[in-house]
Amino acid sequence: MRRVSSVAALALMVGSAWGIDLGADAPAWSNLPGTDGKNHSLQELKDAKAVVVAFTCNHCPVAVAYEDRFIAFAKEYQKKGVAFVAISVNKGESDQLPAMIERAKEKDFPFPYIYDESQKIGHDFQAEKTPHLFVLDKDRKIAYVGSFDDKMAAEKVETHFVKDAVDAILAGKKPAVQTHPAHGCGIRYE
Amino acid sequence: MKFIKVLSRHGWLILFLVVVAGCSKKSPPPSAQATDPEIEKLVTGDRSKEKSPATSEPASPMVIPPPPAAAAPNEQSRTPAIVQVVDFAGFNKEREAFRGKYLVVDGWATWCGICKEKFPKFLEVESKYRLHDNVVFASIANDPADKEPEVKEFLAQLSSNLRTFVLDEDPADFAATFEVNGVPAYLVYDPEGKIIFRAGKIEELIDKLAELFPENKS
Repeated sequence: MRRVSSVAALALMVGSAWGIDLGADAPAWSNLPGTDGKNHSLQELKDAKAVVVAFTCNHCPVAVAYEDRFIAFAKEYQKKGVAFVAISVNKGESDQLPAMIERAKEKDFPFPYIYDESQKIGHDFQAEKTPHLFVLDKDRKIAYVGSFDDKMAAEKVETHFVKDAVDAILAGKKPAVQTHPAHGCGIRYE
Repeated sequence: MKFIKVLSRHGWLILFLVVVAGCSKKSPPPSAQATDPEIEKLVTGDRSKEKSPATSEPASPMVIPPPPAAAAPNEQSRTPAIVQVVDFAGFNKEREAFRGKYLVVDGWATWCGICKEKFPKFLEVESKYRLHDNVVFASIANDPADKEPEVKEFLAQLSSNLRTFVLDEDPADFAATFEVNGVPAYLVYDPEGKIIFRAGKIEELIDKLAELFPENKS
């Protein structure tokens, strides 16, 4: 009972009851400010073979535990034509743009870290947690929803759900595992 | 002389009457005192009319009330919470004790702000159903074992005696095992020990309990 099988998780989570539908068009964001001082949109990533969207934030220890993994992933997969974007929609002071700029500088994020004060993009993706990952295929359909991997403790990770999903898309296939429960801090919507 | 004669003949009878009269002026025994409704509330830990911490000032520290003078008839009296560090196997073993009743669980963590914010609401729900024979409430803090004191402190600040398990497992395994998107997570086990409900919002749990126990619906 230590782990639920991917099949069971898939059966449970597919469908709108668990959030955005697999295969649906990904919600688009536009003109959202980033920690780099620029405004960002999904459209600017039109050439990417796949897009990974990570809803994350500064304050959550689980999200922080994943920062180095996100950095490593972004660096490795940028070379393969895959875009990685981190989005925060939390409104606590430590999660707002000024604090995000500090964090991005401190960690030297190799990806856009953008902020949606309106929280609309979080609602549109039905993101519940930080981190909560969404993989978009080349047609910008939702191809995977859930956690980045199967352990918060990086040294114990066995299954890399996001990497596996992206590898499948790059190979022209559907990801074998399309959902896995996300874990982390609940996003505080207003 | 006549009085002395009467006394000597009926001494035991007079003594008996004096004792009976004296007893009638004594206080009722402690068992009779406990029937006083106000005292009864203290003993049984009736929190139904208490103001919820959620509606007051959640950030302000709360005074821990003294333990009740006598054991309450209900399992969940106002004694300090039983907090126990477990892994998945340990939790499942402990959960056997709840077989035969619905088990309602608040999955939270000390690192989860929104979980702690919602916890007083869960206590309100527990208070509403606590005298129901067929349901028990517990919480699972998905924290490392060394966070046990912090878990106890949090419960004490809320004057909560909710049975709580510190589940020392990776949060990813928590999510996968309970098939939820992390914490907060609200679960309902049926009397056979099967999870029949999962939700991330306590409002959904409230609706589910109203459906399961319509007699408690207010």
